[in-house]
Amino acid sequence: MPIDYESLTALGAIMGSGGLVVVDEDTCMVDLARYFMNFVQEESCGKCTPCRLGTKAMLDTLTRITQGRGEAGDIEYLAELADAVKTSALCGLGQTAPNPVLTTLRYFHDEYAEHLYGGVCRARVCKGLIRYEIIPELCAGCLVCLRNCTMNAIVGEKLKPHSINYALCGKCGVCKALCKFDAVRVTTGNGYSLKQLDRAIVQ
Amino acid sequence: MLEFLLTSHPLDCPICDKGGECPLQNLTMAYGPGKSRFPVESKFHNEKRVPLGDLIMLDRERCIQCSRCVRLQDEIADDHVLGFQARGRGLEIVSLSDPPFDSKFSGNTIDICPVGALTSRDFRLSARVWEVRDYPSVCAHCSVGCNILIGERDHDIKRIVPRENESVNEIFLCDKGRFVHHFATAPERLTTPLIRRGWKLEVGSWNEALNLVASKFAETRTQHGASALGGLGGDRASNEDLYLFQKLFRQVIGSNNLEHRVGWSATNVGADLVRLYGAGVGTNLGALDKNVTVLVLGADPEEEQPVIRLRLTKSVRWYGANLIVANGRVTKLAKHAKQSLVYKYGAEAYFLLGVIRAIVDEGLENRDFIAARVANFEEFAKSLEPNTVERCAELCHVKPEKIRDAARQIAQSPNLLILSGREAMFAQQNDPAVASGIAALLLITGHVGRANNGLIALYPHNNSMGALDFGLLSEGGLSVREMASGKVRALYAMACDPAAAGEFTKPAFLVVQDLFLTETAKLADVVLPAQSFAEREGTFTNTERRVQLFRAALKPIGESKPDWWIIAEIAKRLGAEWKYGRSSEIMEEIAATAPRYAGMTYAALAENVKMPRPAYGQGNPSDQPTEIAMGELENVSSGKAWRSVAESEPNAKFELVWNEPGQQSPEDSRQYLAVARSLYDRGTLMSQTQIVRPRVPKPWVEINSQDAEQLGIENGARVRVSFDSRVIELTARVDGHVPPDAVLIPSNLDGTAALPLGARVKVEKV
Repeated sequence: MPIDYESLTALGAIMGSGGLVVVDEDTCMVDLARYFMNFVQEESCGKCTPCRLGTKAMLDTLTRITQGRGEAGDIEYLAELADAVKTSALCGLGQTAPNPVLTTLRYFHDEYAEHLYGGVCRARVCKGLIRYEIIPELCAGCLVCLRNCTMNAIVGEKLKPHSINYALCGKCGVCKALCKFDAVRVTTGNGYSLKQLDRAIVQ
Repeated sequence: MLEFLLTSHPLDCPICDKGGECPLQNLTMAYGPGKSRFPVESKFHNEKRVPLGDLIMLDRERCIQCSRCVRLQDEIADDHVLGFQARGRGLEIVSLSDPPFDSKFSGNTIDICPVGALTSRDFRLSARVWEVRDYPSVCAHCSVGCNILIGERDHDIKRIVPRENESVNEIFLCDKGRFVHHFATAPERLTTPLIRRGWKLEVGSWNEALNLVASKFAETRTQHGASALGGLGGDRASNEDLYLFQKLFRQVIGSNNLEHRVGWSATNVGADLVRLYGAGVGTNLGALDKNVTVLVLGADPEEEQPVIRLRLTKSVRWYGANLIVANGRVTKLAKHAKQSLVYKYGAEAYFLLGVIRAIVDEGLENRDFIAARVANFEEFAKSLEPNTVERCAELCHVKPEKIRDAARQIAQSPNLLILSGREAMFAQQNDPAVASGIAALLLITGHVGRANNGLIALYPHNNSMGALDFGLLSEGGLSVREMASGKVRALYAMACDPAAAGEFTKPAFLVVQDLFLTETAKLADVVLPAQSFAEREGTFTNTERRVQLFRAALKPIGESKPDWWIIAEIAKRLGAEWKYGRSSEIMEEIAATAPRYAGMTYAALAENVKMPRPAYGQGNPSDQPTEIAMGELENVSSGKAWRSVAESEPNAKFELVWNEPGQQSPEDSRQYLAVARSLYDRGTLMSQTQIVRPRVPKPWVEINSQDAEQLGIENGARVRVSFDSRVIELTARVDGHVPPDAVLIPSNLDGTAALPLGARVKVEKV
C-alpha cells in the first residue's frame, strides 16, 4: 500500500493527522467510530447545520448501538446521515467528519451487524454487549475482587468460588484486573444485551 | 437538513409568535418527514427569554444559527451590533453593543428571522398572526413614506410590519415606524369636541362646536377683515385635509394666512427647486449603480430618514454608487462615501460655488444642455469671476484639490442626484446663495429631468411635501411666528402644536384640531377631535414626491372625525356648497384641478403595477431582474410620483440665479450653533409607546475635542449653553463629529425646541 493521496482517498481515508490509525483486534470498530464522532461533535464550530446537528445525530445513534440498544435499520440510517453530512457541510471538518463511520461501515460491516442483530461485540469493548464471568474452577475465593468491586456486585465466601450479581455489575473491569488467578473472563453474545436486561429487571 | 434542524428546535409552536408565518413550519409542512428518527431526550435546551436590547427578545432554544440577523445588521443596516458566541450546538447570538442591540433597524431582524427566535417585545405573545388582519398603509412618521401593513385585531393595532415596495422601502422599516403606533389607540386620545365655557373646556356636541367655529370665523371676518384669520396646518395631515384646509382659507374665508412649518423655522425650504428640478420619476435610491453620483448635502439621514440612509448604503455597497457626502460635521453616511467633505458651517454657499467654479474652469459644463435649456449661462459665468476655487476653498475650509476632485466626479458622472437635508435647508434660510448654488450645479451639468438626476429635498415629516404642494406657505400672508404671536384674531390650528414649538400668544379665538389635548389645545376655545392615519384613508406625498394611498385599519376612536370632514363641515356652515362624501372624492377633485396631481385618483393609485426587483443579491437565481406585483393586497400600488418641470416640459428654458454668498459673520469667540434632529424624541406620538422610551436619548451637545479641551469639558460632563436670553443645561459628547468652533444640539429633545441655527452660543462647564 503506497502512502499517497490517491490510494488513501480510494480507501476512504485522508492524508493528515488521524488519517491512519493502527488498531488490533481488541478495538471495537463501532466504538472507534463513536469515539471519533464524539471528537468531531466537540470540535464543530456550529456555523453549518449538517455538522452542528448531523454529527450529533450520528453520535447518538452510534452511542445507542454501543450500549446494545441498536435497532434494525440503524446501519442504513447511519449511512444516510453520513452521506448528508459529507455532501453538505461547509468546511473540511464537517466534510471529513463521517469518514470514520463510512470506512468502518465499508470494511467492518459485519461488526455493525453483529452489534445490532447478534448482541455481539467481538472486541469485547461495548459494555452493553459484554458480561464479566467468574470461572468457578479457577476462582480461589481470595475475596480481592469482592472487596474491590465498585458496585458491590460480587457475592461469595472465603475460599469458595464467587459469583457476580448482574443486576448490580457496572462492567468496570476491576475484578478482572485484580484477579491473580485469571478467573474472570469477558463474554459477549450471550443474549444479555442491556435492553433485554432492562426488560428482565422491569419484569 | 430539516430533520437536523428539528432535532434541536423546541416544539413550542403553540405559543410562538412566528407560528403561522414560520418558514421552518412551512418547509416542514412541504418536505418534512412525518416522524422524527431522533430521540427526544437529546434535544438541546437553552435560555428562552433573553432580552436583546429594549425592543427585541431572543429565544436561544428556537434559534437555528442561520446568522440572517447578524448579516442584516452587518451588510444592510451597517450597525455591527450582533455576533456569535461559543461554538457547536452552544453557538448563540449575542449583542456586541452597549446599550444592547443599538440599531435603528433592529425590528427588521424579527421579519427575517426564519423561526421565532427574535420576537418583538411589543407584539410578543399578544396575538396569533392569522388572527391579525393586515391593512395596507403608509408610515406616518418621517418623509420616506415607508409602505406598511397595520396588523389589526379587536380594534387595536397589534403590530406594524413593512409592505414590500422596491421603490420606497424594499422590505425594511425603521424601529420608529415599526414600534411607535400606540398613539393611535392611546386612552389620552380626544374622543369628543371640547368647548371652552368660562375657564373650563367642556364636552360639547359636534353641531355645537362646528356652529361656534363657523360663527366666530364669520364674525371675525366681518369685524376685522379676512386677513385677521389664520390657518396652521400640520404637515402630518393627509393631502385631502391640506387641500381642503387651504381651499377653506383661500376660497371660503378669503385669507392667505396659511402655514405648515410649525416648529422648524426655515424660510426657504427648496420647494420651488424641487418643483423645477426634482429627481426624475423612476429614481430608485436603493439601486443606484456606478453611473450615478449622489451628493448628500447638509443631511443626516441616519436620524431623519433612516430608511433612505439604509438604501443609500446598500446602493454604495452592492451596486457601487458614487457617493459624496458634504456637511459641516461627520455623519454616519460619511464612512461609505467615496469622498467625505467637511465644510465650515455657514460657508455652504462657498463650497457649492467652489464646485461650480471648478467645473467651469475645467470646461466640464454640459454645453449641449446649456445651449438648449439654460438662458443666461454667459452672465452667470461672469458673476463667478472674482470667486476662484482657491478663495472659496479658503472660506469653506475644504482643500481646493478636494473641491476640484468632487467637481470632476459630479460633472463627468452620467447621472447626479443631490439630496439636500435639514442642515442645508437651514443654511438656505441664512443664505439664499445655497439654493441658487444647488440649482446652478444641476443646470450647468445638465443633470435634471431624467431618472436618477435632480434634487431630492429631505423634509422632516410624512407629508411636508404635500403641504408645500398645496401652498401652505406664507406667500403674501403671515408667517408662523407672526400667527403664533397673536397677529391674527382667529387661528385654526390643524394637526400642529405651535405652543409647544416656541412662544405662543393665544389669539382672540383659537380652534385646535388634533388627536391629543396638546399644549395649544389646552389654550383653545374649541378643540375638535381628529382621526389618526390608522382610522381613515387618504394619501401622503413623500419626500421623493411620491403620492401614496393608505387605507383605514381601525374604527374611529370615540366621536373623532377625519380632518377633511371637519373642514368641509365648517365650510358648509360658512356658506360654501361643498359636497364631499368620501376622501376619494376630494382626491378626484385634486386630480382634476392640480396639474401636478393630474390623474392621481384613488383608482389610479390603487392600480396593480409590476416593479422590477434588482437582479443581484436578492436570492434571485436567474440573474435577471424579476418583477414583483405591487398592489395585490387590498389594491394599493407603489404610488405615483409627480413630474418636475424639467421632466414635464422638455423645452422649457431655465435661468441661472446669481446670489452673492452671504458675508461670513466675523470670527467670534463663541461657538457656532448647528441644529440636528434625533430619530427618537419626546413628542406626543413617541411618548405613547413605552418600550421605545429607553431609546430616547438625553439631550446632549456635541463639542469638538479641541474646544472641549480648552474649555475643560470631558465626555459626559454637564455643560451650560447660553445664547440670547436662553440658557440650557445639557450633557456633553466629545466624539470628534463636529468641527472646531461649532456645537451641535438635537432640537427635538427635552428643552431644546426652537433653537436658532447659526446663532453664536457660549458653552461653559457647570
